[in-house]
Amino acid sequence: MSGPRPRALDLSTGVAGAYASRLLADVGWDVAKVEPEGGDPTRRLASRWGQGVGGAFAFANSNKRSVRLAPDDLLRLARAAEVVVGDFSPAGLAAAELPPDTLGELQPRLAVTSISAFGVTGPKAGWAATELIEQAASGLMFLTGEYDQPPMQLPPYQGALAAGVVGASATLLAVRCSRNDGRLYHRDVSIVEAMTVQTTAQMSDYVYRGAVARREARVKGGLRMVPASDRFVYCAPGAVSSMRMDGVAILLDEPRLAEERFQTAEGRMQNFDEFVEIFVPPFRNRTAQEWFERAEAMHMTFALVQSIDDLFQCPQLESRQLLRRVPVEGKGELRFPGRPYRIEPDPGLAVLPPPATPGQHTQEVLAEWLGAEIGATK
Amino acid sequence: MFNQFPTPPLAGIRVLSMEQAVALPVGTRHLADMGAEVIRVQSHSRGAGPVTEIDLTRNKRQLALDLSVLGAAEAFLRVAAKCDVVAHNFTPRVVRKFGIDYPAVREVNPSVIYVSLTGFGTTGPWGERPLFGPGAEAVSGHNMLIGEPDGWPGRPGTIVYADTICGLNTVFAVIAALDERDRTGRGQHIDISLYETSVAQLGPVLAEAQLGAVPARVGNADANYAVHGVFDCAGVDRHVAIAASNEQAAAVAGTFNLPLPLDARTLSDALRQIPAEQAVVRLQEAGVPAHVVADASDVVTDAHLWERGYFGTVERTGDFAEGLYPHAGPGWGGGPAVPMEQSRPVGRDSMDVLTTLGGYRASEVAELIRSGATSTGPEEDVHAPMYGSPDMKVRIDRGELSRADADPSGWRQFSNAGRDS
Repeated sequence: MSGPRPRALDLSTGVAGAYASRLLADVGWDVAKVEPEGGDPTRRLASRWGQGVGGAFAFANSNKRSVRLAPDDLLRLARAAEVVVGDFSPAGLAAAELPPDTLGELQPRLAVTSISAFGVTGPKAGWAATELIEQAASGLMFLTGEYDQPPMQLPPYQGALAAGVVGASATLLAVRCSRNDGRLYHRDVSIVEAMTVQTTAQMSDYVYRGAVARREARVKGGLRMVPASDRFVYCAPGAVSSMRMDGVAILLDEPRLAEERFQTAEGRMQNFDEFVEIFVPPFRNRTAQEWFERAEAMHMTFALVQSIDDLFQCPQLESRQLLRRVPVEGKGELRFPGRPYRIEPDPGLAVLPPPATPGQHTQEVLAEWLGAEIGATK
Repeated sequence: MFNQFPTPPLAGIRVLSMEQAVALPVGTRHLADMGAEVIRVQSHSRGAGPVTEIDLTRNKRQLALDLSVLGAAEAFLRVAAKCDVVAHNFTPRVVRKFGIDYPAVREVNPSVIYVSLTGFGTTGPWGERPLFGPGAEAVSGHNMLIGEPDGWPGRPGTIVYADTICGLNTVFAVIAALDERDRTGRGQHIDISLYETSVAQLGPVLAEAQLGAVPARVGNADANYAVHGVFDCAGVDRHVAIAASNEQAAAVAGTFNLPLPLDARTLSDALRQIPAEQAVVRLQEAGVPAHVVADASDVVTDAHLWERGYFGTVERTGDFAEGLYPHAGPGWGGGPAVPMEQSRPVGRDSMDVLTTLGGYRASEVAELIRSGATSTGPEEDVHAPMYGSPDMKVRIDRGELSRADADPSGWRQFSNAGRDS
């Protein structure tokens, strides 16, 4: 990147806004994170499973500097920034320990982006929310889980991270407009909406046909992931509704699967118990890796069902250097994903560790961002 | 306070996208919604896609090219020379074979932003492997985290979650590259994959796993909350999601007149008697995070989303669904930026694109049509019905649907609300 790095001031205390501004940092922006008196509450956030305190903070806040500011300095730093990112919903402002009128006071050069659960307008703007609630409201959770059980949550942070991507994009779209016409733009991104867009096919199925899609029926579910000798393997030799079994019959050396009654979804459904009895046991004879390679040789697209531990060992991620090595104060070196894609030519940007303490970089950021202003007022 | 863009932010940006499946079409659809001129390239020999492509091809121009026919690759390059962004979702071997890889396109368009959207990325030991969205969810670790502890792994429920997430990330990558090009004049090759963008969605989990967490399937549980789950409510397939902290547990109990300490079974029994909407209103009044587990009908009739201008509408003609229908974008902080145009038949714009951008004379295009390199397509697009059977009873019997509504037009009462109408 040539010329001065554009600056973003990040007021958010959740994962969504933090990820949005981290994505900007990953493409070369200079990001200062404003932390409230007690520090960003995400620093104290444990994982869904308990333990893992601070993991989400480290992931979403690497490549930033942390500042703690008096109210006047907040407004001055905002004026020195191209954009401000934050959660300007009532709950978000409270978490960040900011007064209700903050939004109107901020005057960055180009854009202000709010990222909150339901957005800051509309009847649900004041509703209480968590990741579970956002997933439920989006329409995605209703489709997830076993066909005969209540809907199931997705992995943690899905809404927050999707909204981070949307928020970073919305910010750059606003920057683009502002550079054209000089106006200050305000964007209002909702985490729920960033997730709802993942279900547009189901929305269309409803508005065009009245169909209320639900969690997959077992006739499909039984064909997705099957236990091999060591772990699960994902086996979907083709488009599910039209999937035939004759190739799998050869792969598994199980001629009964080539019978006509198993070649359609309806047929497998009508003979489901028998189908499962024939289909599932042969997978126990080899490892998931072996089934994957044999299927690949027959041009069937199986996949390994990897765990989080597997990702740390993955030769593809290693070769691509997707997992950034980041020193985290008191916790050693952590590996987690950096910019989620590669760029050629690689800009080779340096990566900062997540700020060890709230306000760690207050003086240097004030000096750099307000240096000229401080000099002029002396 | 929050303003619409006065002009579409990507007006004047031209995107040439050789796209199949879902991830890249979703990404370029978002770009089109924000005002980019998107030229979708697809092979006319493949025929019309399924109805789901209505969602993926709106607002796009249609150029038909069969790259296996002599002259088609040259046509692609001649159009690519006039575009800001050139994108494809082939494996690296295929784009090399057709002569439309990054070095080839950069030669005719030095500042091009070139997007390779692949399964695993264009390099590395898995770089040539094909991968589809559902497999990407499995290999990236999502499925191992969905479901009950004693059950088999689950999966994100849309079939195309890894695709749509990759599409969103592609939008960011392209907009960031445009920003970079505006400031430096340089283009770049964006090498983005289903696998890596899905792994990125688990970034915090990877960090947590190195700090003592043990990621596993835990149903709807979350150790940070006293009440965290999905509960059956009155009616068929109706549920409420509740996430209450230790401090909020008393409020949950109070809302439904239940004794403390709150017992999960007692709460389940109480909620089963109550409509989900009513439970949510009462919990939210008490400050407890709660929401109906929304199905598609809930989403498209959500007054909140309509009031915010999340939905736009598109006037459809011609095939199975005539009239005005809603469509949604991700809400780039303020609704779609351009009026929506319904999807166009494969090849509909071939003549125009090849003459105005490719610099061909009409007689030369006619020759390309004769050779099979391009096509101006059918008069009408013929779409297969979505998800196979048009018979709702069959789909209900298969367990695909919760129900089928004879009149799904309930959203119309809201369609005059919203800031983009």
